[in-house]
Amino acid sequence: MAELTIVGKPITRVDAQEKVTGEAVYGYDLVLPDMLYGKTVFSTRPHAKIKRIDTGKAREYPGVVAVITGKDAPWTHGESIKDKPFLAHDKVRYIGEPVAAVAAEDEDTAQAAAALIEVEYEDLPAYLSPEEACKPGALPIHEDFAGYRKSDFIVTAPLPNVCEHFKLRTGDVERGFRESDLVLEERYTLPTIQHAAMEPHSAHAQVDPASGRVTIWVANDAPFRALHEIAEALGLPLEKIRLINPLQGGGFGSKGGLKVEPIAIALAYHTGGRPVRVKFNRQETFISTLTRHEAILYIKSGVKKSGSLCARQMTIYWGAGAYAEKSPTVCIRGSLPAPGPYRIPHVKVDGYAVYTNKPVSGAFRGYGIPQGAWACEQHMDELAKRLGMDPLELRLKNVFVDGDLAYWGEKLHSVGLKETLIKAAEAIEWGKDDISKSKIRSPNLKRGKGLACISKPTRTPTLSKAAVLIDASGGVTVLAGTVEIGQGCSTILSQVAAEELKVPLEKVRMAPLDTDVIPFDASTTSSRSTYHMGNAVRLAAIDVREKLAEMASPMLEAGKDDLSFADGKIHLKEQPQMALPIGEVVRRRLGASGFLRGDSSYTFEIGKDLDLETGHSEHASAFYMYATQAAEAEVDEETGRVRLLRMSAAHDVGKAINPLNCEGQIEGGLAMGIGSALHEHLVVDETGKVRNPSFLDYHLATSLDLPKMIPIIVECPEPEGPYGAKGLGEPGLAPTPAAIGNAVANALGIRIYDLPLSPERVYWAIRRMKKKVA
Amino acid sequence: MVIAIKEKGLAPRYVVDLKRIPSLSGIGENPDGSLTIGALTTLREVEISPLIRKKYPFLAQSAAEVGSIQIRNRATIGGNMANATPSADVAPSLLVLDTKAKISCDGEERVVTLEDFFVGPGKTVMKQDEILTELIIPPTPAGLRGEYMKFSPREMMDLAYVGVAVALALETKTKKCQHVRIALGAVSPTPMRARKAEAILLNQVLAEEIAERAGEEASSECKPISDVRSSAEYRREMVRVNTKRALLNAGLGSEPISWLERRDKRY
Amino acid sequence: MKKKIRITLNGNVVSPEVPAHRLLLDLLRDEIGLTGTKEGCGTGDCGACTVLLDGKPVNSCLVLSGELDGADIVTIEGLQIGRELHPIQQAFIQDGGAQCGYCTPGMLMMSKALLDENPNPTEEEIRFALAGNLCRCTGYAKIVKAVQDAAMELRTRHTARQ
Repeated sequence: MAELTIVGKPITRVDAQEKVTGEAVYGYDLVLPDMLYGKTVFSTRPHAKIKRIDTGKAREYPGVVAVITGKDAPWTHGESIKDKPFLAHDKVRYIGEPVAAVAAEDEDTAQAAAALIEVEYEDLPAYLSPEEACKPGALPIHEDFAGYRKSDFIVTAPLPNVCEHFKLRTGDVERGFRESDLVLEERYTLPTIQHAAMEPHSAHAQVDPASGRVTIWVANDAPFRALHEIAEALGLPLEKIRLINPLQGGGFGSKGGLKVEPIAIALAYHTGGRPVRVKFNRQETFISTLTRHEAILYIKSGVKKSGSLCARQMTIYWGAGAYAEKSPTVCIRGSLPAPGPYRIPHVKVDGYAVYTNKPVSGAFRGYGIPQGAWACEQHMDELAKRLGMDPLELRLKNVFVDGDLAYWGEKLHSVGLKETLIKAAEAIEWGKDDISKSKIRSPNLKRGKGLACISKPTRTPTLSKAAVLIDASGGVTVLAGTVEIGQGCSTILSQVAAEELKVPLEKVRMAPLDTDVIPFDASTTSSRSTYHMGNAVRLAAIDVREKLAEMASPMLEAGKDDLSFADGKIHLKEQPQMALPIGEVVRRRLGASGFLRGDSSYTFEIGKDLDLETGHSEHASAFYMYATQAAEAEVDEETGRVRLLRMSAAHDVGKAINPLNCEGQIEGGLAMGIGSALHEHLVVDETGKVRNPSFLDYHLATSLDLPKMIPIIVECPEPEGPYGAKGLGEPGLAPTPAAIGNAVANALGIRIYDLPLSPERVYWAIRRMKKKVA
Repeated sequence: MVIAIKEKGLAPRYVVDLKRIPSLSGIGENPDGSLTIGALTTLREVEISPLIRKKYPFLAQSAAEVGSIQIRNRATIGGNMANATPSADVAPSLLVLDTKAKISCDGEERVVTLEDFFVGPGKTVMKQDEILTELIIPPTPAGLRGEYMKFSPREMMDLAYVGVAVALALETKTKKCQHVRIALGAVSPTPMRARKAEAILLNQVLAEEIAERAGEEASSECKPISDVRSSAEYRREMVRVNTKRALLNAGLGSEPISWLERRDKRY
Repeated sequence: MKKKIRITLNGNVVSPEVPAHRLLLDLLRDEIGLTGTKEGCGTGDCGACTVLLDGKPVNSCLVLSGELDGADIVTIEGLQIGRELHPIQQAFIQDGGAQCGYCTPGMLMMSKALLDENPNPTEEEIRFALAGNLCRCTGYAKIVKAVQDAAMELRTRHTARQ
């Protein structure tokens, strides 16, 4: 491959300047002319019929323009299952469900009027545990489930409230257990947590009374997917909907799907063409947007004395919350790899996504892998302990390598897993415990090390289209539907365009995201963008480059193949001084306001679809992201407090298009993982109410709470990826809790099965063990 | 107050801004060795005051434990006391210093002990038209040393799950506790003195075993509740552990080397 | 009840008339139109709304307009030195201190306040000062480095001037 000039370099972000000056405008900052202010009224019951909603006083409040309830918004939406009303129709299914909304001339008025809306409920039995909600005899939370529009990959089960049943069947697990020397069965759980992006949620909407066109301004991570979902819900053709993305202040999955948008749209139908902004404050963002799936995982493994895995069986309950949202695909993509990145001849997995009367679970960075890893990777350490093996050794013996046939029927390539294991372990001086332990200051402190490894697939198949324009001044504009959510895609994609066209980075700009103008992109999720959009931009740049070379050929009196690009110019290969700036080529042929356009379309062909009976697929994912994280922890036995001393995170990215950016993603993911391991828990009490919807009691790691972090970039090139790149955004927090759990277990000799590893939980686990020993 | 307006439905018709009264702010040492802290002194000022850091470093430490620098730049010590949150970090430290509160109304003044100032969660002894003007720390025994231990999951930004303040004066040769105060936060309706625990230590030589017994006593005399942050039982356990730790750390007279080590055992 | 207040905002004297209960954060963002200062939580728990009030960093979501008469306020829009970026802004760019950028204005204002008071902070002192500014994207590592680099640059400039 030719020498890369800008790809692979740790250049500064193209959007850094506007962010450090405060000029960047986020969805939450956006003001539109003649805008009205919306406020939402939420359900106070977890599962109830709506008997009466009284909006009279609100309607009369001076300055109020519209007051609506479900009757005024008779639409439902959904991605794989169309089950969610814009505003509750005849019943509510969780505390926090939107039931009414007000649009007024100012914020204070909207808030005052909303407080005057009265709702009367008639309670129904509420189900708060996914395991309970699918027990035979449980009442349906969605009585009309059978009649909902569902994607064709949905598999139902003869159990109440199950909205997806994923099955994986390989070999014969019973036989595998019989052939094992050791069989171990365990149960792990994870609570609900929340994304807590620093920018709360908001959406602006406007319905043009003349054309009926609906325009939405929203920081949504999948504008085209949202467009489809809205069009389906409203019964409108796609061209009637337009989505414009202002800058997004983080999301981590919470800004995918439709949350605030439906309320803004519903209000916009009643404001005579005036745009409406609906903002959720932090409390509303915690409760009424999306959360991460709580999960209960049963895992049983059989292993030989030598350490070879024989069989693994898992049953996983995913708490979907009140509406399906992305639960079916989280269930599928989280359950399939849950047995871990290991060679196992006999595997059986049953994953159930179950409705509960709780806030809606949705996409969350990691997409089911963190939950699977919490169980699987601690379970592996328990096996290692019983076999008398080093946990690193047990993994090195069983992990995937290039060419392996994975237990879901896919032949694997570009497997950088072993390298991540070795490097992560080395970085915290694995196996050299004496030096560290000699530094312990008092006998109540116990130190331990632990690690965990994962494999993360990406949503496959998905489509990304792109266009690259060259104008008469040599400026390059990239039209790509990837959303800048903070992950750095505008920088990466600019680097790709600059690399292919050999122009300085300053000449490249990303076009604003407007679905009327930008070509289709599936979503900015699942770590798919560097690979899919990177490929699309690369191909579009190559397309425009070819066209430019054809145009320049007569101007430079040379054949197309005798021309080459460098420094913003096109020149004769043999005589580089015979050159033209690329803008000049465009100007001469197309005029001063002309531009040349290249287009592309990229998807990864999978051939056959996922087999719904066995869970098998030849290409379950276009590529896999492998990672290992290792932790050294110190536990205060007297209080249960866990302090992390250091953590390494080795991630196989294929090719680091921007190493500075990659480090930032690894560090940020690690911080989120540490938060989910030690502090985070969105507490829903026995009445279905969220008890800690604020940063006071929902604990994000502060700058003082994080240890020394050691990010390690591993490059095991992906042949189909742009310059060999895979992805990185999702896996960052997946192995973290298990690595820390393993370190704590190593320190204390105690396994903790539930998250978070709060001081109180660890303390009682220590007390229980001391009682047993005594 | 702003948070009470936003979250707890407080809807005042009028708010009177006291912050412009200069005489209500400031920290001064009086000739008799007592200390006066104006009610409008910010917690940040208490945190960085050279006078308080020299005389009562654990009081500066407990101020530093409140929220963030941004919060401490606005939160006043008087406002903090008037709020009467059971978990207020500064309260236990002030209690072990036998602090008094001066209350004013229409030119008339009265002084109560800080212990009596707090009546219940969010409730003080003040009437509608009274304001807190000053906190007075009376002269303390020579060689007084203390410690404030805040127990919470994160290093910053949390409300205390448990707060323990101790102040000791040890007889130089025998190491007997001639003077001992222990106060607890977040484990009763108001910040409280743990008198039974104090009684165990008085006139005894400070050592691990007796510190442990004092911790156990403090643990049984507090009245914690279970809430979204912690169970009552865990709070009791943390009172036991942190009382012992605070006593022995204070007895050692050493300072923590770094912020991250301030909750550790140094003995 | 509306009140006329006279404030110095980023070096300019302005006299807005606002309801006394209007929070400084909303005054800046909604009434004056400076949206650089961000709302993250509205309850003083995240620091995204940090501005300098009379030189001291505070959460603007907890300050009432009614008490602002005569106040000196500096927001992110006033951090630049003339047309040049402040060294702390430069360092955030160089070191990758901003990802989604939403916490960045508050983070920068708090960092400036720290360096104004302590030109040579240790890593722990930096983390202590920034503990009231939550970030969900970066894990703080590159933010801390940026503050260290900015501190060094400021000390160099200070020495050069002497």
